[in-house]
Amino acid sequence: MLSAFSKCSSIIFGVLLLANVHIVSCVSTSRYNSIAHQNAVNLKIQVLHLVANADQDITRQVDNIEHIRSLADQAISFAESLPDNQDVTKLWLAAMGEQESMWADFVTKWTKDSQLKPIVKKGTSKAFTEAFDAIIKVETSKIGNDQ
Amino acid sequence: MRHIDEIKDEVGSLVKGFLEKEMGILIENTQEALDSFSSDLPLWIEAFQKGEISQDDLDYLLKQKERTININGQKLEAISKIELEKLQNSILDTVVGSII
Repeated sequence: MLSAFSKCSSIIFGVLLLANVHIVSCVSTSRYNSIAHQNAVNLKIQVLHLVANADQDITRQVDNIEHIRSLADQAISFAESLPDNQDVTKLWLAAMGEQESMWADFVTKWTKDSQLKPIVKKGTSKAFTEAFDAIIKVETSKIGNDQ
Repeated sequence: MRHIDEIKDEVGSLVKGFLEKEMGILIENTQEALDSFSSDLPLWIEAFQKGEISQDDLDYLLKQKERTININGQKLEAISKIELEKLQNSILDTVVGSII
């Protein structure tokens, strides 16, 4: 009798907990994607390499800037295409969006000044490192979340 | 069929682990942000006072720092959601596993 009661209460508890988890959380995030991860790592390297050359006249780096802009557009579009991936897309736009982003400020500043001073270059490099590390960290945090 | 107390204990320990991990991430990120700001800001102000950088340079650096802080905030929010979903899945596994 007691055993039957215990089983019954376990089932009721289980059902209530399942319902509770379903109602309260309803959290849904995208799965880990190795292409998204690779996009962030690749662009981090390319952007930091470009910033390292920002003491040169910007006219010497126009092709490189356009190339990185194209890669960034592809990476943002890819992030947008993944289901439940709004948080990572927001990070991409904050770092590499065409407007109102770290990238937009950097290109505007470099265009205006032609060449960036060492301390400005260093600050920019640090900012991009943290931004890309944030994207990479979020992407790798998804590992193990496969259900 | 497992006893209800076992399930409660397991779910409790999953939630405890989740909260400890979240607190750890929050403390670590806050510390990193404070360290970053306290190391950069004095250097920039000194360079500005010495005339090594212009007002526009300083404004630009501060704006990039503001963007970095916002990005780190968004990162924490995103990681919290991912960890919460992992917790949700672990609880589901525990409960379903105990019923079946």
